[in-house]
Amino acid sequence: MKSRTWPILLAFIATGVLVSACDDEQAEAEAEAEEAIEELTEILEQDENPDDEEAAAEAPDEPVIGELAPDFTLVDEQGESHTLSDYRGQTVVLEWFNIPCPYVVRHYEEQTFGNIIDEFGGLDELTWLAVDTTWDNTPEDTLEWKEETADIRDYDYPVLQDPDGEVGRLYNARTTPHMFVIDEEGILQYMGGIDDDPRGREDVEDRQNYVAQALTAITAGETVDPSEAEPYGCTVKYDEDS
Amino acid sequence: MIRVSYLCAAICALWLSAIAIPAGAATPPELPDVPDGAFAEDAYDDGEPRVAKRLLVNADSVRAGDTVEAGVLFEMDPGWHIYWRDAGQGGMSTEVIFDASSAAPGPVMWPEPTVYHEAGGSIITFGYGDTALLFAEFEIDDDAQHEVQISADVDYLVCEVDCIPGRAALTRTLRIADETTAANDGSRKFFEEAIAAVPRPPEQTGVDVEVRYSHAPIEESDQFRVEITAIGCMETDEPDCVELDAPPTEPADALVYDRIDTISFDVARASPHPDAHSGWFIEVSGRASRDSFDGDRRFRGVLRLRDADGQPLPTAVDELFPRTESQQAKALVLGDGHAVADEASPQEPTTPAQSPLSLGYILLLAFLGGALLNLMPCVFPVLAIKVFAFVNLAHEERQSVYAHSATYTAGIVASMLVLAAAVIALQMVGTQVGWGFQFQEPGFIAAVGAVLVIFALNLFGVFEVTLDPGKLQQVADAPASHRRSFGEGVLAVVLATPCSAPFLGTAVGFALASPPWIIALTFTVLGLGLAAPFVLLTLVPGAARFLPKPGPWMAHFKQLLGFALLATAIWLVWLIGQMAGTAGITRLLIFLLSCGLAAWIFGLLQFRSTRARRLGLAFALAIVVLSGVFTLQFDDVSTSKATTDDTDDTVIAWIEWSEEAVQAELDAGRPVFVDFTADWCITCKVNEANVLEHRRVVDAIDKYDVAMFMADWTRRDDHIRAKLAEFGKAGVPMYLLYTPDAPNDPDVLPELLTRDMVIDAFQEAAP
Repeated sequence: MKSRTWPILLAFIATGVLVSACDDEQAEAEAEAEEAIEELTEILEQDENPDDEEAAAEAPDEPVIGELAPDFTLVDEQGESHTLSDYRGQTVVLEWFNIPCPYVVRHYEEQTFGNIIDEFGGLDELTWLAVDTTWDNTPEDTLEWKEETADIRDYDYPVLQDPDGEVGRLYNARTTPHMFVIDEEGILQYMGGIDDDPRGREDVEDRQNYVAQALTAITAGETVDPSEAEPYGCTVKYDEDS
Repeated sequence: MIRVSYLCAAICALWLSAIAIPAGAATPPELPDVPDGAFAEDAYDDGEPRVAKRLLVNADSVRAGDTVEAGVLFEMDPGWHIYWRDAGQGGMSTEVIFDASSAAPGPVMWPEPTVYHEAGGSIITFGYGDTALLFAEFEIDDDAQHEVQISADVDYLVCEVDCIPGRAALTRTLRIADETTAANDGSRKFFEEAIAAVPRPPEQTGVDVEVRYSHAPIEESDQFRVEITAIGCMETDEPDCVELDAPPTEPADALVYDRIDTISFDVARASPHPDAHSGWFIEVSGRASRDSFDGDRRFRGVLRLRDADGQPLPTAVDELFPRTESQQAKALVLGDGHAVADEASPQEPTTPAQSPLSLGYILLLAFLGGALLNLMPCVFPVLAIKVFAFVNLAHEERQSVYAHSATYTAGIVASMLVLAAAVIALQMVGTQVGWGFQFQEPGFIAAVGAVLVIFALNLFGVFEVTLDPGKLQQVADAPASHRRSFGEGVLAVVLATPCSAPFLGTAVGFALASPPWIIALTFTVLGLGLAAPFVLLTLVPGAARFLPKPGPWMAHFKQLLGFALLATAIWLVWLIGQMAGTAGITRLLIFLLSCGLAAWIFGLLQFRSTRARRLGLAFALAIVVLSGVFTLQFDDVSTSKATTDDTDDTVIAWIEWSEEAVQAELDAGRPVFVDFTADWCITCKVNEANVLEHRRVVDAIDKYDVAMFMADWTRRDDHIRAKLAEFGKAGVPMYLLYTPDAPNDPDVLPELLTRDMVIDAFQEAAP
């Protein structure tokens, strides 16, 4: 350490002596420095701007951890339109959903999703979007399901209608549930199963809930690990003709 | 109208009954009746059970200490399926837990599963439809009495479009008896089928399976490839050849695998093995997530091989999946592991300098060879006479004898060094001219082979090497002094020539491929060997008595040595075979045969009139030259991609890659495609055979006037290595496509080419 600090200290002293000894030179040096800084900021700005535009334009066409989540627009069961990029600034959770799938049913009965929303400050703090890619599902089916399950659901979030499977395929959604966590900057931070207990044998508290873990890590500014886990559940019922 | 519809109804009814009868006959075999606790139905769908389960035992009664199979037979409704021990990209694996009183259940045996393409093929899952028997072997305790209780807990998901989870606990008893008796409830054929369908290790199916990774270890966020080769046999006429059917058209159908945490797999290609007579080549592309992982894993799965009759030949794969550095991991890397060590030796035959023969051993051989020359018919008589005379003349003065011996040795060594100098000079000139004195050089091997054959024939007496006798006399008559001894050393070398030429010539041939100092050293030691017996005999008075008498044995000895030369020729033939395949061997042998023929013709006419001799020499030379011109074209053989089949006419005019040549074509306005390939890279070969050389692609090459370059990395090349590194690749294949508009920014095509992809890319690149 010492052997390295000495020359630097000497250099500083020498510069100081030189600069104070010659005012003209100092002025010149200052001007030069200013120019350099200007140039640098210009370069940085040039670099930054196109980058922003490019990034916005070039979200990959598949889900990639650490990159922008693919953007999409879908209507929910009420006919209201949702565009993912409009939620920039909020953390978004996507939940692939199917009404009769027993795995989905179990997690609703176990309040798996409601508990996460509770833990992370309710729907004001967290944007939760279910996506139903089932080919024969209709908004009416969704409304009917919502009515039937009203007493076991503490939160009412939109169920986006994707019967032709476009967004499902964009996200390679394979099972219901299949979860995606997107941070405030629109970056995909987690994708995969909801937890580590496909067969639902453990007590709810003993399961490792990957979505809750990801949200905790994002809140704390830490790296999400695992960022991927095998999704489990029923296979997504895609429209095979499209 | 009404009549028509009646008629139609009648015909339809007839048709239906016709269809219904065989359909009824084809219903699945009678399912065994099982005791109450061993049967369960569930997965209710609108009140209908979709799955029935029966706990079956492959015996009616069992003797204590015997082993018996027991398992759960799943019976699914048509169109419904359960999943394998790994469900694949969706669904849920089936879980079976066996237990027994007074018996130890073995691991669950999983018959080969079916591959399901769900969601129009975008989700690949592994499972079973109709019926599936998942079983285990139960080893009954030696002291088991009365009966054994066998139980199975199953947990599964059954899907058609909708999915229904199910669980069941089944149990039944098995009677202990003096003898094990077969099941009589119809269970046996289910067990037979299931046992036959359980994947077996490659050693048992007779298929040679190798798993190789594009790199190892596989680290976080890595993209990688797994190449799996399953070889039934390489050549048609191999004994025990396992004839395999063609791989399935859907790659996913070729392999089922157990998933690994943080890794995703995708079976990207299944094609016939490009080199094997019977074999599959499967490529899996993979990706590791950025997440933390815990050490090495195993890559396990089942190759869904089919034999020539279409019968399943499920073969288990179980190989290290390397996530940490290790020797084993290194050995599993494509091109670096022993896959290459096995295959690269053909391309890089050992040169004498690299061969396991140490220099010391070579020198020992040279010494013995030199000593052996004394026994040759042309040297031996002279030697014997000389020794006697010499000893008699010099016996009064020991000092003088030592001095004469030393100068005699010096004479021999000096003449040998002259020969060595000539060889080194020839080597240098040749290298400058561009001759390759390397054993990788087929032409050089052919030349050495010709020398061996011709000299072997010389030893057999087919023709003679003669020297002008007059000259010999002059040397022998030099004045008696130390200078004379030196001269006698030289004389010995010269005298030995007719017989030693075969050996010296051969030595010269081999020496050409060695560094100069080794050449000089070898020839020196050869000379010392030649001098040794003479020196020994002069220094030890009376030793000459033990010299064998000259006689016909010497001629036999000479002929015997001819066989030694021919044996050496076999080694050269093998080298050529490694480099240029069977075709290369054939070419070399034809050339060697014509050399032999030429030697014979020369021998026939050698001692006739001068005119006849000249004619014979010219004729012999003509034969050698002509046959050389027609047969010694190994270059096109060794650069052709097929190592064993040079008749494979290349449909693409490949240009050898260099930066300058690429630039020149781009300047000329042509798009440029560069194929970075290697003979040991199977992916490269499959891409070349299935995609690049396909008629449609070849047409596109013509149409868009693409300059096709090949950068062959079979032998490591620093320029190619640098180019690969420039694009972040550690190995082949790599495909670059340059457009004249952007000569510095080529497109990197994926490692798995498809015809459409390449054709589209060519179209875009065309000006």
